[in-house]
Parts: sequence; C-alpha cells; structure tokens
Amino acid sequence: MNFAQANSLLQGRCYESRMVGKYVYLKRRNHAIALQIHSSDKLLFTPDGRVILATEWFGGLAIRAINGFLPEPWLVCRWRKHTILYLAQDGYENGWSVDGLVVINLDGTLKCKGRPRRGSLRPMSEVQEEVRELNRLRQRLRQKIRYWRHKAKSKSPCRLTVTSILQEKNAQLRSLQIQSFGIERFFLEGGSETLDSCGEYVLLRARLDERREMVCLKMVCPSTGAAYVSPVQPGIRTVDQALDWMYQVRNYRQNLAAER
Amino acid sequence: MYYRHGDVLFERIEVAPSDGRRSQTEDEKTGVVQRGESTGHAHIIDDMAGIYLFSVFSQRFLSAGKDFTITHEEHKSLTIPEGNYRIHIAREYDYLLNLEREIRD
Repeated sequence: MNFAQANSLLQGRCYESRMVGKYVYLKRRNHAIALQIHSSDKLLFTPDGRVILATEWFGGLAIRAINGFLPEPWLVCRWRKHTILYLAQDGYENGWSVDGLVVINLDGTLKCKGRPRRGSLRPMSEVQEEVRELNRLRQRLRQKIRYWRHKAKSKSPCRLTVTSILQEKNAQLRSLQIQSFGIERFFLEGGSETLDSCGEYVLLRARLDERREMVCLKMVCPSTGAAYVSPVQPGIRTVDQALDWMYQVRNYRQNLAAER
Repeated sequence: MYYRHGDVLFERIEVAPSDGRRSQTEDEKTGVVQRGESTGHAHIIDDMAGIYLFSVFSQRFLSAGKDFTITHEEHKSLTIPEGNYRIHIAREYDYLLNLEREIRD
C-alpha cells in the first residue's frame, strides 16, 4: 500500500478513520495517514511517497498487519529478538535489522528517521555474526557452569583463591566457585563483609552481584571453641534475625537459658 | 526458654501435644535426639527413664518428668530441667539448590 491507496480508503464518512482489519485502522495524521494497530501507529504513509515504519512491536498480529500494508516488495519479520525488514525476493537472511523509526523511500532505499538518528539499521550479516558470537559466549559460560556445578557437588579439590573468586564477574559462577572452595573457608578467609556482630556471633555477607548475595552466620562453638559458619537465608541483616531463622524461634538470644 | 546443644534447640512449652498423632521411631525410643550423617555422632539423652521423646508429624517433642542430660561426642553435656519441650534442629540455606534444609554434621 502507498499514500494514494490509503487516501482512497479514507473518503466520505470514513475520511478521518477507517477500520481495515481486526484491531487495525487507517487514521489521518496531519497530512499523512497512519496504520494503527490496537492503539499505536506502526506505519505512516506520507504524501511524498515515503513510508515510516515504527519497530516497537512483537506479536504475530502486528507482523501480519504490517506485511499486509507495507509497499511491495517489502516485508517484516522477527528473528532472535530483532525486527527484520527485507525484500520478499531476497529473503530475510539478506534483510536489515531495524530499530526505532525507519523510513522506506520511494526509490527503495532505507534510512533512520530523525537527526540525530532515532534508530538503527544494520545488515543481517552483521546481526547474524553478533548472534553467533553471543551463542559461543553462552555455550562457553554453560560449560563453565556445568564444570563448577560438578566441582561444587563433588567437593573435589580446586585451585581457587578468595581473590580469584571475587574477580569472577558472573554471579552464578561465583556462587558455585564459593561452594567448591567451601563456604566456611571462603567466609573465614575474609572473602566477605561484616553485616552485624553481637558477642561471638558475626553476620557475614559476600556480594555476588547487585541483587544476589550470600549471607552466613559465623558462630563459635561454646564447647570446642571452634569457629564455623552457617549459610542463612539471603536478606537477613542482623545476628538476631539469623539466629531466629536458623532455629525457627523468636527472640533466641533473649530467651536462651543455656548452650553447650 | 531455650536450651541449645549444638544444632539441637529445646524450646520449653507449657503442654506437649497429647492426641493420637504421636509416633516414636527406634532412635527416639533409645534417646537419640539427632544423629549426624557423616560423622556418626549423635545427641543422646543419657537416661530415658521418665522421659518420652516423640514426633507429631514432622515436629518433635520431649516430655521429661525429671531433669535429663544430653551428651554428644563433640559438645559438653547439658543438663536440662524437667518439663515439656519442642525440639528444633538448626537449619541452613543451600545456595546451590536455593532452599533451606536441616544442618547435618
């Protein structure tokens, strides 16, 4: 479809707006005509023959509607979270990954709308290479996670240090490495910060990333004098909370009569 | 009032559950409050005369008509006064599985 065809549909009592499909409307926008799906404009036909494509859509309904109204031979599809604009005869593998507002000119050339550009236009070959690289990284990470999960479960020896663990950027890997290294050893060897302390009890925390953390309560056995740490639920902030959670009671320290 | 012996905590309660849901395992009959999985060590009540250790579903209780002493290979003995107690086993958080579980030594 082009502006002239859209204009011919918007005549008479439907001059301002016309329903052209389920949830799909043609609407006048100043001098241009928009294709509206649900309540947002996806295509804009301008009187000079250009078509502006808005790419913030994901569903099958939008794809079908846009493909029905795009000027031939242009088509759109989704591929690995990318919006692809392509020529029907070339196939989507030779198309462009588009983002933001993209203008399809009358001569078939593409450009991003606005100055500075309000979107991006990249050939598919570039996007495919990027996806392949991302997949390789994911695969490597999955292998590492599998390796460290096995190590953590089997408790087999490993050449880790507190520093090397803290340098690991991936939170899941760091968590597994701490467990392979030994939670107790990691916390006692200073890989953590103190959240709260009360008598012989110290609540320690190791940050895995901005959201994830590992919290442990360091205790001293009154009988043997040995220090040990016990992992507690993340989110616990005080020694009292940790003790109450650990023994599933209330006010543990206030009500403790004797301990050995 | 709480009495702690290693990973085992005795919480004093007014009345122990007395309905027909009580059950007793072999360990409970012989006074084993908690048995360690890896070390084989156990928290054991010395003299079970006048002491009734039982479970109601997953919760464990103890009714003691006299003071009793609990022993363990690694901890000093602890004498606890007569009364009714609910037994709590310390728990820890498993960051590998993202769940909480009872501590097993």
